[in-house]
Amino acid sequence: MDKKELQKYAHNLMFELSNEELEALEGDFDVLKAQLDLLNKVDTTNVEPMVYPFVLETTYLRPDEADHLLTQEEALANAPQVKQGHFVVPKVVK
Amino acid sequence: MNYQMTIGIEIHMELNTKTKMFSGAPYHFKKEANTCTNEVDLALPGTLPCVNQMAVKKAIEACAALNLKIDPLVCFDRKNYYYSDLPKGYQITQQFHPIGRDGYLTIKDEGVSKKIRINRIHMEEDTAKQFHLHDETLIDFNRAGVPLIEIVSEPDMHTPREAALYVEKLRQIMTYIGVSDAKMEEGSMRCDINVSLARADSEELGVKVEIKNLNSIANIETALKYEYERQSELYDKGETITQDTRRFDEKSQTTVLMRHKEGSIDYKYFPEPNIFPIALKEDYIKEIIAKMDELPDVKLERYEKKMGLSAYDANTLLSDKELANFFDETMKLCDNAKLACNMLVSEIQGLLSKLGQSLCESKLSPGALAKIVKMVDAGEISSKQAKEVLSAAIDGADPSEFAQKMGLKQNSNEDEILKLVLEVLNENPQSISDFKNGKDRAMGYLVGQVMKKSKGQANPALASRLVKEELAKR
Repeated sequence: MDKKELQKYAHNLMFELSNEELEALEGDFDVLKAQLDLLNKVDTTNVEPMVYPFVLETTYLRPDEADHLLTQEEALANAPQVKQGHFVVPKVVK
Repeated sequence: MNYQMTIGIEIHMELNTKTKMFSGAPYHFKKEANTCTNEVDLALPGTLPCVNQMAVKKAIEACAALNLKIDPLVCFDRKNYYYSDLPKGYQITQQFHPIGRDGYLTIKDEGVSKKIRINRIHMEEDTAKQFHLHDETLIDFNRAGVPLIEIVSEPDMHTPREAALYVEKLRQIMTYIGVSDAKMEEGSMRCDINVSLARADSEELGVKVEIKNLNSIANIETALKYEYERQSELYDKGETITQDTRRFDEKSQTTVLMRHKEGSIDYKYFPEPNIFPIALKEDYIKEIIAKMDELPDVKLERYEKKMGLSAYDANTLLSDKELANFFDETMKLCDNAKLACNMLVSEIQGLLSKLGQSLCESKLSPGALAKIVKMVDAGEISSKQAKEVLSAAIDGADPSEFAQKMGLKQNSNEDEILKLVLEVLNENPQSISDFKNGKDRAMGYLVGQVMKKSKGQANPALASRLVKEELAKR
């Protein structure tokens, strides 16, 4: 993973990375990649891909009954900026 | 030049459950901002989604109503994108294993039926509502997490009218089986249309244009007619169509460019690790389908074939679910479908519109209507008197008590009415000779006199017959 690629992913997620951060991340990814390469050496012939760590069939569905509700004040408690009961964020559409 | 239009439609429909798709927070449309959320909807750390049983049930019902094959293993996936209407940074949806595949519905245009295939129905969660102000955006998370189904058609429609009929039919079916309010104006049913134009003799499809912001069925037809004009003009001039997303503009009744399509976004779909696949038992699915409300097409057939209503009457009842249900309840208590239907669609609707009430707001009950139908059927009251009784029943009066109190009853006793007829004839020799001289109107006058003498209680048909018979004797 080179700096250019990292910058691209950062842009996709709409944030900027400083040069120092890019350096540090590049180093981190080298380590990560080396470890993933180790995994790639494992022979997986005839092994089905798994999504979950263990096979467990569930049947539970939650009954459609109201349980837990936050007040408006609680919902907005972490918001840096609030207006008329709404979260306020920078406008990103034209 | 003539072009062939090809239309495919994606519809998002909010399921009318009490709580959200993955959280137990109750949701109501039009509540104050951010008062229908909990930690799951706001994606606070440490929360886990938990699938709503009712949402799954309603999705199954939608699939069954539209003839889709249902996947008994419910799986969810993540659709990753970064936007402020989605606090988790991803939407939980069913990308790889939709709950239903390969269905259809049938539209009917001037007696001609056409099948429109449905590719898939999948469940997902709705996003937050954003209000874009001058220089900032306000977010209301009430809608975040509301259960949705997305219904994806095949590109089987070729005219604006077919598209409108398809959406109308879907709306009707979904409201009838009670899975969604399907109100386009309130956003509980949202419609995106893909449309392309190609030369009529061409094998290939044209460039796809997507139209958003269609908030009524009439607008769907208008927008597509406009697109046909716009695109065919461009083709005629030898210009190319770009793959755009456009939106319908209510004011100008046209479509306007929203954005050019810049490569497709990679949503990096992967199976949702927080929700294990849920296996639905075959019996569970069967039971849900068996207990479903009657589909509108089945109801229509029942009204026309079994009850003998005209196509016009049957469709009038069907156009309003409330009306159709009221009619069905009434018919459990009386037999004369035609009379009950007439009273409902003409007299009762007329009285209600004068009062500015809807059927469910009024005090009229199916039981009361059934009583009035029976009273008319048995000849106890005339159809004219029935109107008075109906009017009272809408105010909550009991029909038989009201009729008795007001002395509204129909006299069908032949001896009593004959006595009145003879009296009238003896009092009006001039009318008799007028009648004999060919003035048919004279008979109407005489019947009117009989009705007057009976204080409006004589059975008009009987009075009329007796007057005619007696006139013939003189």
